[in-house]
Amino acid sequence: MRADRDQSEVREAWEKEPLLRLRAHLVRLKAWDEAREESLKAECAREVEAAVDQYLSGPKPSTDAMFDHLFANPPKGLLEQREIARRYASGR
Amino acid sequence: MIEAINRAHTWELAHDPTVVVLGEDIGVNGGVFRATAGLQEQFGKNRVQDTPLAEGMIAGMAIGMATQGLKPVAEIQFMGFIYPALDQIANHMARLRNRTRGRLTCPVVIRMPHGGGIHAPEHHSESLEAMLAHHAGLRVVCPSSPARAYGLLLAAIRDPDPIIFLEPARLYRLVKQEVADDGKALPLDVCYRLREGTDVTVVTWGAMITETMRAAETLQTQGVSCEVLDLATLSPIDHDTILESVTKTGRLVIVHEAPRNCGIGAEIAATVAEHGLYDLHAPIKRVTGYDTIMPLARLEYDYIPNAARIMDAVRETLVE
Repeated sequence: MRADRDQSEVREAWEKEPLLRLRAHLVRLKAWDEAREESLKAECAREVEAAVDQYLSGPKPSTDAMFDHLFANPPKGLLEQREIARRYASGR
Repeated sequence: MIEAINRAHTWELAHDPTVVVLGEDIGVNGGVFRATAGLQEQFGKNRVQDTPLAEGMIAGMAIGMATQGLKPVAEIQFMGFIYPALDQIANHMARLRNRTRGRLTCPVVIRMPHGGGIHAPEHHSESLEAMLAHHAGLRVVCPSSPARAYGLLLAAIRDPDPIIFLEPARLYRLVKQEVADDGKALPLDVCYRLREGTDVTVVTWGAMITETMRAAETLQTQGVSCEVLDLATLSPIDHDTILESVTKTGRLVIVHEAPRNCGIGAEIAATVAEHGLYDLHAPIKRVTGYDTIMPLARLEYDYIPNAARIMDAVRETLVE
């Protein structure tokens, strides 16, 4: 039992919960249903898993990848660090 | 180390009724790394509280509790998640004693995993100690062994001021060590000498201790004697011990996983340059993470300094 707020307040907040209300609204419009939701969840999970698999099974990125896309115009010191990173690439 | 942290919590919850533990998933789930496993069962929901996923609120709640006589120990799930809590930490926690001219104090500990090496996604592997050390009124502590995690966490909880407690994530389950569960705290604000040496002083902390000790052992077989200091309290820095060691060795290498730019290594180097320049036989060397975003899993060991880099830096100081 929480002392900081009344349980009725929590129940009321759940009724107003925006994502749940949006789903109920879409279901009423027949624009959404359980099957479509399950299928979307499965599709998202597949997409994420595939991206992780691709990242882990592909060739290892070069150490330069750490320094790429950090600045449009990389400062001199950063390019020097890029050289150090190349020299000490762990190979693992 | 994770068990030592759990035991320090247990000891202090059992011996100090004002201690309250809070954070995301720390109660029912026992924490993502299991640091707080079993605590809610043992001490109940009032003293071990699950919070919503809202770091700013966790820090704010801890501050409120601390001003009213409790001793909150809050967990931020990963160091990269600290940013939303920074407003509370920097603007209130760090300055409450000063702002109220000592009327209110803030004995809060905010713990969090620190650094990489655990193949985590983005925002889970940061080393942001320098950003915190830059704020007046905060202590920043980082243990490097189970025994120091236990003793320094107890010291942090008992300290009357706010402390950021950084737990090196890849040491959680890497290092095994028997720890006497005797409730004895270790001193804050001092370095720990992990290895005596005569040729070079190497200052480091947290998970970098492992690579540094490995480098020191290899160098010993090549006739190079390294003195290894574990900084342990990253802010304020125990400059006396470092300067004393540099007076003996005449050489200094600083190793940290955090980015180089404005890192804590720079503060150590500057102080040794100010007060120990005439003892130095060679320029100070820093071996650090790069000034990039902490990379994802496959490159993290190319980012984190390794023993080879440390050994080369030590050898460079010996050429002079």
